[in-house]
Amino acid sequence: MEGDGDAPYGRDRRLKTHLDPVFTPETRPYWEGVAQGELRLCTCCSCDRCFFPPSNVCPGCSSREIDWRIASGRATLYSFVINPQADERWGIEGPMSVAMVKLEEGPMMLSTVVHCPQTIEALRFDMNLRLVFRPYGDLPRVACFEPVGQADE
Amino acid sequence: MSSAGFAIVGAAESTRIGKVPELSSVGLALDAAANALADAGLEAAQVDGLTTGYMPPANVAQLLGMKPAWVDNTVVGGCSWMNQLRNAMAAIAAGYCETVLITYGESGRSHGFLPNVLDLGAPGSIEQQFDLMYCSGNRASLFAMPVARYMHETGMTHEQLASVPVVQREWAAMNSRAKLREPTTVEAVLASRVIAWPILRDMCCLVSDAGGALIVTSAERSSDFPKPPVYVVGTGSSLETGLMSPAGVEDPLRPGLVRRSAAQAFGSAGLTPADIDHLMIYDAFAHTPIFGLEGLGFVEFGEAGPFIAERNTAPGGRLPMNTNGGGLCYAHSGSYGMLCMQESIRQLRGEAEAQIDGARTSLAHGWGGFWSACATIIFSNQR
Ligand SMILES: [Zn+2]
Repeated sequence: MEGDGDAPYGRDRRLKTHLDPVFTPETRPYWEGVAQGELRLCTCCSCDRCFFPPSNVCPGCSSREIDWRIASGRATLYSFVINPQADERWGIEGPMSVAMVKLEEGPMMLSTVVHCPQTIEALRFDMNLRLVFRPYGDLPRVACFEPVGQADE
Repeated sequence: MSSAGFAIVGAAESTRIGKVPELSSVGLALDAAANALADAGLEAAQVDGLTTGYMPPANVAQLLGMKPAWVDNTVVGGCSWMNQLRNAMAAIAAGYCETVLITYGESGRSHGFLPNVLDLGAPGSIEQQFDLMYCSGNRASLFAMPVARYMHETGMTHEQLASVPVVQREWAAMNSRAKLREPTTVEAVLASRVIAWPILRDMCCLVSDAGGALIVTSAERSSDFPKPPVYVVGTGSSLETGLMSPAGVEDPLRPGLVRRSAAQAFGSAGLTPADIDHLMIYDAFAHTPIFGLEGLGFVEFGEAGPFIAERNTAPGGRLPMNTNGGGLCYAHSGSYGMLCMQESIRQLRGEAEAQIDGARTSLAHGWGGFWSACATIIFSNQR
């Protein structure tokens, strides 16, 4: 059967040039936190909502009084896919998970679950995760997660 | 927006679809526009409204010899054309123009995706800072993020997911312009290579060149054209998160945006899912019709996988869906919503190759990005 071959969007060359995150003034505190080994989240001073991604306006009440807080790093695994191959910036051979991670503070973020087999057997829904950092390209740290073992809980 | 106040009086795809290396994206849009104008018996200069989406409207106007009084280029992903149809109806109702040409062309296969306006990985965007890095640039994986969780919560099997392209291949077999027309099996789909588990290659749409164009005007004027009018009887639209920013969706398994869009569309049409004879749900991947069937209210949460696997949407089934073969088997040039509407209109005109007998209503539902945007259009050949 003759197929069209590549996955959709697989040929989009632009994407490969855009994989190094470019910070904006609103997100700079997040990235400075990551560089120091912290996951910083925005919290609204008016309605107390904790949100991600960072912004200068609260998505709950439109307030511009926003504080930063340091996330506990505790999270659970909501959903995932397993990519057959990681981009070279990760320095990971073979498959790599892409995970929707639900942070203890409420927001969901995209990340990856590392330090465990990248298989559907090892990646269990709602499993407890904790924040870890890994290098990515020229960045010394980006936010990743690892399973919390029974002994750690 | 009043029901049946507007009608499609011209509709056409580009002369060729699939592999069309002799045309650029703009060339495909112009070719489709010329076909739609001929279908409506109009000259370009008689059309006073223009929407283009990804390419600058002024260039398209210049090249077509139009001097439009109203333009729009709303871009929210693959459902942009449905949104532009709604916008065009509003512009006609406001008296800004009488007749609108909605054009689309995309050389997804031969010359790359659209050149401008919608840059999915724009430096500094939410997606570019917080999402694309983790998916290693494999955007299929962002679309597929909720599927594993959905299977976990509903018990939908990988076999049921694989039945989506199997059924649509049966429809494609009846369409001479479809790319993939040979029968396939669940086993063959499950044997195709992994793109982003649980999504396998045969669960992904094609990469094609294609264009399409529509001409819309008021229902009052719509009897002056060569083809019978196809009325737009209901529309809906909703936005929720960044185009490729799945973590921003409130409930990824029961995406609210499709429910909101469906409520508007059915509400404005005064119809319910039981009134729909023919259905097009944008299938960028095998799971998107599943989420669409549930969100639009055709089945309950968790039922859509078995519903498709049990052939309810297949030839002979009670709810024929994606009867051109869909983005999975017909063509997918990158922004497929326009081609969904083209098949709805062919069905209601009685011009489809896989014609549904007596179809009076057709619903076309488009997505933009990963539960980022969607829009729903209900057409009827009865006013
Ligand atoms: Zn707030």
